[in-house]
Amino acid sequence: MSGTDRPAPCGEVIDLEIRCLPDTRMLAPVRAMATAIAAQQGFSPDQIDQIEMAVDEACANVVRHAYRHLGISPDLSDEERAAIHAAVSEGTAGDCTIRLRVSLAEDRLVFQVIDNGIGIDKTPPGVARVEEFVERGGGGGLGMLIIRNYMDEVTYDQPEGQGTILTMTKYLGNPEPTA
Amino acid sequence: MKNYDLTIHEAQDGESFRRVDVIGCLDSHTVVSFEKALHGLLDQSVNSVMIDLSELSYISSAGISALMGLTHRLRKASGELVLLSPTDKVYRVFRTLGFTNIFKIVDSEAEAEGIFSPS
Repeated sequence: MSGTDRPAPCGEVIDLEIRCLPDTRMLAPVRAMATAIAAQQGFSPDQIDQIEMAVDEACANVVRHAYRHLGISPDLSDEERAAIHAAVSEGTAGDCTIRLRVSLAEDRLVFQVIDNGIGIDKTPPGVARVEEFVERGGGGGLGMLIIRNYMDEVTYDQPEGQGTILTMTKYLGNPEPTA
Repeated sequence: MKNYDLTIHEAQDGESFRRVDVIGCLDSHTVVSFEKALHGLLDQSVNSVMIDLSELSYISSAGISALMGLTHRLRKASGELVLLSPTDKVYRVFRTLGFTNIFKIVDSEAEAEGIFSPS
């Protein structure tokens, strides 16, 4: 559905924003936050699962692609991980946090995942079809397909000299996505 | 539920496959450990594996990719990966993305046995 078909948000809009370290360890608490917000907004259990997965995939992509120069990986030692966390927290590695901004309106939930990392191509990486992923025997690219399938509107912005802003919108009451 | 745990069971007498239990979340963080363990098992010439997903609370694209890679590798070796009793949440992810026709998904060990040792 096109975003231009949509009415303007009605009711009060509440914004909140968190920052987190670009670490795959942060994915579980970020998912917990996203699901709690979606549940509070009245989304169905299936829709909550979809929002959880889309937010997870978006943040995982930031760690994997935008901040790949940091070398964060799940199998780092605690010491290696702590050194990267310290560099990010103290700013010596630049602003390498993930900002998750959430706008809650009566009829929609908008998640923005914002990074200051290495800009990705204007056309975000990802497989176009599940069949392509299967033929390859897995690999990357499924995350973007999931985000596009599970959220109602998805846009990428790359302001000059900055990282990427991924905006994902989910409307209350939309039908379930199909494969 | 634990965030992640994995158990690879010893081969039982008469059993034609190896059973693996995975608990918790398979996401971009836990998948590295999962893949390391599973590919280590396949390196031992194991080519029939059943993964019990009945206590898997979450799977991301990284987890699906790992399962796809294992399926690919096992099928190339004339083997098979069977997924036992995924939770409703994980099954819905497979279904909405179209993986229920790609993965071998069963509800019982007897059904898995029928795939590994067709009569």
